[in-house]
Amino acid sequence: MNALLSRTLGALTAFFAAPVSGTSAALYRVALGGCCFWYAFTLALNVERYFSETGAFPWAFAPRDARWGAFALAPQDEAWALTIFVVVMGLSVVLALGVLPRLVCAVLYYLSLSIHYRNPTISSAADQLLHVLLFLSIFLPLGYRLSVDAVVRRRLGRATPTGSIWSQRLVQMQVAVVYGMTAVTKAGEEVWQSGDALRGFLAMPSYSTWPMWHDPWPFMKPLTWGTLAFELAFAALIWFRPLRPWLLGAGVAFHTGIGTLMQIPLLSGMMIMTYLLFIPDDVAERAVARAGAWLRRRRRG
Amino acid sequence: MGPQTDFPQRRGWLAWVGRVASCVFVTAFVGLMLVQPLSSSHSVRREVRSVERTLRPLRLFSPWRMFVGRARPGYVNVEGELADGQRVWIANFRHEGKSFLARARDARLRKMHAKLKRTRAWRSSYMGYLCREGRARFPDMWRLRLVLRKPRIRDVDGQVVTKARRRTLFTHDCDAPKTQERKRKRGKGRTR
Repeated sequence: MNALLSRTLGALTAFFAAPVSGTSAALYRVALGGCCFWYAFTLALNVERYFSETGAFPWAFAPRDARWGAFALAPQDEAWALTIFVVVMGLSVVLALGVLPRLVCAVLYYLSLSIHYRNPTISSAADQLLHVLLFLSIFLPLGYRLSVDAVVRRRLGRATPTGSIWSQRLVQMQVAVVYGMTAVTKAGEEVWQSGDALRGFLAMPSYSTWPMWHDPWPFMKPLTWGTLAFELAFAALIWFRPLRPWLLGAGVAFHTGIGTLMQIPLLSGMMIMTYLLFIPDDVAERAVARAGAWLRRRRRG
Repeated sequence: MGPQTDFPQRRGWLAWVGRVASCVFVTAFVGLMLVQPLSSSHSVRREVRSVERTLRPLRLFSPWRMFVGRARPGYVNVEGELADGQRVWIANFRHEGKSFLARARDARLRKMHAKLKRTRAWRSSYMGYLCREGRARFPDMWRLRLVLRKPRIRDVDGQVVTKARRRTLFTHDCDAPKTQERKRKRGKGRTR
């Protein structure tokens, strides 16, 4: 009994507390910075429409929680709203470069929540996912490698720290839960069981890039069932390292397909971004070394 | 008896406190993540209701229901009516004929328009904004219509499967700013 308990504890500790170098977290950090920049940029184009007193959603309609947000400091000032978006864009660049990335994630999380509460009518599942990812990123070893922080640390002669994988596991579990929950809910619905769901969504002008009724065979029904199978498989099997490259490859194809066929690119981009945290550090380090060597060859040649 | 691992662990009471705090955080986060699809009357959900209520403003947990349900082909857009009776698109979230920047700018209209069907609170504000924006392009525009459109959908062979239909949900007179101003000042129906 004691041996079993010890083995279980050992497995849990290895799963949640194994050391990480932070290379895959660094790649994720760069992608997250890009994603936050795009998020703020597309909103900055809409300051008057969504965030001003003369726009669609004046401050008086904002929910109670908006009073804790950054907009509350000057709720009726359009210039202040624009400043918030410029700050988010700036912080996104700082995050991608790796300057105090955990602190930057905390500030970005607060600002993204402020934006949501200022005008919740435009929020989508992609925004919710961004909130969760920014919050969990506060705990990730984002600045250990490939960052300005790492360069400063090296110059000061300090040792590179190693982190623990638990925060990375939390993001991985969150991604698996996103797939698993949608798949289980969809699997209980008649339209998904009959294989007609994708056919309907691809005919919807509010989502589809080219709204059109496609024949159920040979593609629509297999694609509908394939979507369910992929989502369930990802949630259950991504934890087995030999299967991981196949599932991640299938996921990239899946989200590229969604991003192309449907007008919801942000969610697809973010889901692909989270895949970087599933790449083991040794593989990420080899990829970074190879990319570095290729860049050096190009510069010389 | 300690866990069997093949990697070194930091020693000391601070490291121990850190490990315990991480364990509590991970367990709580994963637990709250997993209870989201349960119905609100489920006993587990009732147990954690107060925690969920406290954490709700942080938007960290969701039942994740993307693409759940049957697809509905209708969508809501806003049309402007010109003095000569001609109708023009004023706010349209579809990508056709738009530049890359315009697409990025209008990407979130879909969400807003979907909510316009149900809410009255901020509809007048939005219409007022669209009147100003629309009149910059069409100075003789005098009325806006919130239109539910079910477009003609063809199959891959070009055969019409669904006929086009349109229904006006709401009209807004662009020359009645005083009414809008009154409603905005009242700030009725705060969104939750």
